[in-house]
Amino acid sequence: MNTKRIVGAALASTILFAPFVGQTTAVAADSFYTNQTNAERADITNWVANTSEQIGNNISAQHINLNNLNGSTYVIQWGDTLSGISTATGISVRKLAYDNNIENIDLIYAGDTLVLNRSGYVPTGWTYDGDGTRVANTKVTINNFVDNSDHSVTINVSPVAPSGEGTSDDSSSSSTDYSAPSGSSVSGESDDDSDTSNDTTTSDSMDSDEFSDAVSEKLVDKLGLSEDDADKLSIDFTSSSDDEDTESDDADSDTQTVYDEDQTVSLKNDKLTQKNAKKLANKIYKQLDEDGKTADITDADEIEVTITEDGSDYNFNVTLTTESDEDSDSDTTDSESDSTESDSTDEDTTDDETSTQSDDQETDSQEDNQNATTSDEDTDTTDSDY
Amino acid sequence: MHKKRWTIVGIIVVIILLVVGGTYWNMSHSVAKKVPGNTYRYQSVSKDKALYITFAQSGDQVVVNQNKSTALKAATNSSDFNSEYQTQSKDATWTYKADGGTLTLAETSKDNKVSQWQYNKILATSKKFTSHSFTYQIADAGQGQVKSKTVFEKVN
Repeated sequence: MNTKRIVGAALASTILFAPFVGQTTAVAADSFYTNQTNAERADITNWVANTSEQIGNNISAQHINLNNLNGSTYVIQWGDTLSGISTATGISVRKLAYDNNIENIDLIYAGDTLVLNRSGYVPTGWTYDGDGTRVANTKVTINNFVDNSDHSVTINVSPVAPSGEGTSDDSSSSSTDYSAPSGSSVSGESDDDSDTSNDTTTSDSMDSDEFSDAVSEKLVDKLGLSEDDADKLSIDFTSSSDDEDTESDDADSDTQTVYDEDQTVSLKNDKLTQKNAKKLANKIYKQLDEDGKTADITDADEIEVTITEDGSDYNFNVTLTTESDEDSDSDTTDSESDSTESDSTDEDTTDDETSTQSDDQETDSQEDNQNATTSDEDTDTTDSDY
Repeated sequence: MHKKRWTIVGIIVVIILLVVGGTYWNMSHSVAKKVPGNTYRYQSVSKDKALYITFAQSGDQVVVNQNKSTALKAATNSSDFNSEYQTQSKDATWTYKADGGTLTLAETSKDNKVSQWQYNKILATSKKFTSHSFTYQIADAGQGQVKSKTVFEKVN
C-alpha cells in the first residue's frame, strides 16, 4: 500500500515537472548566445573544427553519458561539426541527420539542440546534403563596429586580396555575405550587441513597399504608438524610380499637413535597405520631435507620412486626419488609395482650405527642399540605435 | 664643466631613446619576419580554447588546427607541412599575410566564402607576438573589430 503511494507520488511529480525539464533545455539553447560577448563569438577558435575529443568533452560537460545515448539532448557548441559529433558519439552522421531532420549536414548552428540516439534506424530513402565537416554557424550576426560609420570593416592586409572578396570597403557588394542567415535570430538574445546585429543582417536592397514598411515599423516604434494604433500610421513612399506616384496626397476634408513645406532629410546613399529605412525613420522622428510636432501626430486618428526620394535626400511631410462630427468616412478610408480619381474630386468639393494647402505644398516642395535640410552629421549620434 | 656634464647626459638620453624607440619599432614591424616556419599557440579571448597555427616556411599557406601534434608535425619540414596542408584543404583553405604590425589569417571555404581575422598593432618578440585588437569578417556570420589583447606563443 505504502509502495503504491510512493510510486503514485513519483509519477505525479514526473508529470508535474516534466515540462520544466524540457523548458530548461530549450532555455539553455536560447541562452547560448546571451552569455557571450561579440569578442568571444568572433574569436577564430570558434571557426576551426573541434577535435572529436573536444566534442566528447563538450558532451560530457552537458552531463550526457556517452555510453548511454538514448535521446539525450546536446547543445551544439562553437567549432562543432556533425562529422565530429558523429565520431565522438559513435552515431553515424546519417542517423544524426535523420533524427534531427537535418537536410544539409554542413549547416548546423551553435546553440541548436541535437538529439543523440544510438537506437533506431534510418529509412533507406533518407538522403542529406554535405559531408558534415563545416563548423557550426552562428544564429546571430556578430557585428561589433567601432565607428558605426557604414557598418563594415576593412581588412587592409589580406592574403585573398586578388580575388577581391571581403577586402574592400563595400563589403555589401562582395560575394561573401557577412551576416547570419535571415530568420535564424534567437529569441533569447538580449545583449546590446544583438540590436546592432539584427539591424545589419538586412543590408540587401529592398523594393519600395518593403522599404516603406520598414520605415513605418521604425517610426511607429519611435512615436511610441501602441499595437492598436500602429495601423493608423501609413507611409506613402515614392522612390526616384516611381514616376507615376509623384502626385502628392489628396487632402481629405478633415486633414491637415504638419508642415507647410516638405522637409528634407539626407542619408549617405539612396539605397533602399533596412539600415537606411531605420535611419530615415530616425531622422524623420528627430525632425518632428525638434519641431514639437510629435504630440499632434500621436493625437491624430490617421497619420500619413509622405516620403519622396530625391537621390540621397528624402522629402517628407505628414498628413494628419482627425475625426469630425460630419466626418465623411469614405474620404478618410481613401487615404491609402490616393490615386483614385473619385477621391480627388471629393476633396475639391468638401474643404477648400485644406486642399489649397495641399496644393501649395505640392508645388512648393521641390524648390524649398534645401531650406529644411538636415545634415547627415547632425544625426550621426543616433547611429548607435542601429 | 657644468655644460659638459649636461651634454653627456643629453647624449645618453638620446641614445636611450634611440635604442628604446628602435627596439619598439622593430618589435612592431617584425611579425612578417618571425612567423615563417614556426608554430604558435593562440588562446581564445575567453581563454577556454586554444588553436595551433603553423606558418609555411615560404609562401602564404598556414595550417590552422586545434590539435597540437598536427601543428607541430607541420612545422617539422616542408614535406610534412604540405601533407598537413593538403589534408586541411579538403575542408577549407587557410592562408595568411603579414605586413608591418599586422597579420591576417584567411579561410576560404569550399564554396569560396572568405572569412578573415586581421590582428592589428602586433608587437613581436622571438617567443611570442601580441596583438592589441583584431578585425574580423566572417562569412555568413558578421564583421567588426574587437579591442582585446590576444597572444600567440611560439611552441616549436
